[in-house]
Amino acid sequence: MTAATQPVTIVSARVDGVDVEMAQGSTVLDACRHAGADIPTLCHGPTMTAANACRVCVVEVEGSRTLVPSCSRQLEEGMEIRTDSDRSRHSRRLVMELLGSATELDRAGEQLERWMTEAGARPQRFGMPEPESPREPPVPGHHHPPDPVFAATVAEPAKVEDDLYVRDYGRCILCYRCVDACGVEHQNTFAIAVAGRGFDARISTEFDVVLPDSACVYCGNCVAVCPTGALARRSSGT
Amino acid sequence: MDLRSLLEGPTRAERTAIDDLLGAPESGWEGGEFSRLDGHVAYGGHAARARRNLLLPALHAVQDAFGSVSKGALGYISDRLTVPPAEAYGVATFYALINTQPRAATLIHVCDDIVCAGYGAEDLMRSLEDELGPTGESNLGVSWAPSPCLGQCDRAPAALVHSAGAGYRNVAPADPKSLGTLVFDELPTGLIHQDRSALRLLRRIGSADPESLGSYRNGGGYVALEKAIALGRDGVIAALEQSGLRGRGGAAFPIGLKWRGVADAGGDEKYIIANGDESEPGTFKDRILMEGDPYAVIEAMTIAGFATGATKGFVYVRGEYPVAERRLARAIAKATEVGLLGTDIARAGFDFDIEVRRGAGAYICGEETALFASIEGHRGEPRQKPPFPTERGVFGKPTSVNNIETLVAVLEVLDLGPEQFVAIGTERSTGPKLFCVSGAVVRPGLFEVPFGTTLRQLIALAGGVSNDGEVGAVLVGGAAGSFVDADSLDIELTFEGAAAAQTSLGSGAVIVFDDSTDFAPVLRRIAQFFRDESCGQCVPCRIGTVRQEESLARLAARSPLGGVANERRLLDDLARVMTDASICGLGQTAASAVQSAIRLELPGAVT
Repeated sequence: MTAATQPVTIVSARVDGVDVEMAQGSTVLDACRHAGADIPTLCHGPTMTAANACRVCVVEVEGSRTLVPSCSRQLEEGMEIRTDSDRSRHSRRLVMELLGSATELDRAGEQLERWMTEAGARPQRFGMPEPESPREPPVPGHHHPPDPVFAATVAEPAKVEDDLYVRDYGRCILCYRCVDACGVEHQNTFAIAVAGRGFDARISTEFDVVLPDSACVYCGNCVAVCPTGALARRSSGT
Repeated sequence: MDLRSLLEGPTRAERTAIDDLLGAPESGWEGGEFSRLDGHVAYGGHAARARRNLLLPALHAVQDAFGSVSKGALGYISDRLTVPPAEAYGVATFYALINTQPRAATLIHVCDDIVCAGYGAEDLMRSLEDELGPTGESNLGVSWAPSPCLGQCDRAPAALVHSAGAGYRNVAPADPKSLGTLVFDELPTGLIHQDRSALRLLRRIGSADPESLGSYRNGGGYVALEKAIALGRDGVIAALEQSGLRGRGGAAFPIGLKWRGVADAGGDEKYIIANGDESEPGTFKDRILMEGDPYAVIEAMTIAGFATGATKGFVYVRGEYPVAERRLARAIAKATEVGLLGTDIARAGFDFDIEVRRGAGAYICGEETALFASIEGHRGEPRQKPPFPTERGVFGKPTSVNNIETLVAVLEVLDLGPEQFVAIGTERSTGPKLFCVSGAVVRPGLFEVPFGTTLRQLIALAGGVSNDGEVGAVLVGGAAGSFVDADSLDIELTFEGAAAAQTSLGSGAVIVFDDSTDFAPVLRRIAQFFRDESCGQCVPCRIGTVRQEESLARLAARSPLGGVANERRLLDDLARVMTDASICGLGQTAASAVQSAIRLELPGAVT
């Protein structure tokens, strides 16, 4: 049977008290947006499988102990979803505050800015952002003791290693989209991956070799999917 | 796959170390010499990529031999396994026991975690610093680094020494003089302070020879497998369901239900995993079982294979447990030799094989979905559940992941019969349970008690509080657990009793602090632990653990941001988002101990 002739099964659920009916295979996010809820997303994007990493889209689903990432959770029959509960709003706000406290988000788009304003997110409440410094090679399981003045950030000098790209990882939220676009989702080149662990994790080539020495073919897919402006073409004004 | 490997080539010695594990390359496509034929035939695709699960073992092979993984070695491993070098680097830099920067030939990992910190770790580090210089610096080929809990809390302070080409060695209790020597004596597995005749799970520890199958059989070994075969697949699972046995790794999932899930799952390819990645600070029970009774783990896994129809098992052993790894590997080899593993086991018409996999210094890999990723050769990042492992586990196949203690308890269910097993413990927490008692007690060690024993009784078994002190607080369940104070010593140690006291038994760690304890440094060490061990995948945990540690550091420095009340608010907000929105249990429990200390107003906690 081909996809075109397959009967579409309908899944019924409820979002903030509103009944919704969605095609089977829809996500909780699809249902929320269908019901008119404005759920922020960062690591989720069209043409890609959701990485389920940023957690900015979490909502409450009845019967679930923890909040549920709406972007990557399949809608199930009878789900009772709450996007406007105190619990889900708290986590969405905190995720945006945490990202903003560690990452430069000024090129992440007006939409994020609006979501942050609406949520009342104040990233600066975690302290003065630590200034930019070159990133040390990853040492998993170890880190420098926290600074009593600054809040740790990922700020580092932008990498400009060729005439084409700027990789400004002080703006990187580790959404995995560039890695997935370079790899299985689009290009199948696998020039970059996540290296290091925890807060020390970063997007990297093998041993952080410069991009021209890596497997990169400059297809531009990573730049196209980056949601925060961490990856940019040099011609785009940097 | 459009693969390019541009790293430099391996040295001859590196190539040999890798080929010893993987076999010689068969073509230029996987790192060998290019022949003319290679230009016409591509040896790639699924078969080549199916070897990715050998990535961590290959990294270990190089790390073991040379103390670090060079660009050339990483490039050659990538070629051999058809793994992109960037991804191989991502995996190598995930693990604390893999170095991608050159290091001294001998590296001493010194535990400075919450138990050892109070019992000599500071003196040990100070003398190492005097002798070798600050951490990371190499002096005559030796350097040292602080480490999270090494699972030797019954004989603190602990160290783990790795010498390139000569393997790992646990040293505990460690004194600076013993660390430089290269004597590979195996430490006693662990002292059992209780009368062995009253014990079930620990009855063979220290009495049977862990290297001898005969000794295991004399101690009652392989009786359970015989009974299992007589009961049949359904009979085994029914007995487990009747026994009420729940998992001992922390999640307390009913084992019968788990095995039935795998047994009922479709397909021929299913897996049994014994989770020996015990890394919860204050926990050492699984180490003592694996070191002291390795055949029991093997037998129980074999029964799991029989009952569920899985034909392949992995026992994933913490990288910090070299003795356990060696003994398990020997036990597997011996069992295979005599037909207790392999094909047509015990002539009962079923097949089962077990492979040992070694972790590499990552607490997160004890989380079952992270453990799958680690075995598969990926970064040990957990994934969202559902789908659950019984449906989609390692290699995407139905998998039962069982804690080591749970597996040993399965043998007791079959040995005793479910009726007698249920008679031990309470109605909802059946059977015997192991607790790792450490810290301020006279006799730290592993204790086996029926569920329902009180915390006070358990501490009494360990000889009571040391130096005639009083209990200040007890951390139940390790770093991921919660404190209970001296008013709660009469809580029953059961799943339900712990929940009622706003804690959880977790891994069975019971760390006792006396009433002179300042908890501020303890909480800071716990916060440091979670920051170090977060995999970094999800925002609440990756950044939340950093902010939690920073807040506690500011409080310790008496420079709270916007006042103590504001710091308290920050900590509460962080706790909520980590608990509610993290992907896995690590982030979900990363604020638990800190929050409980605040709630109980322990000395030094933010109040």
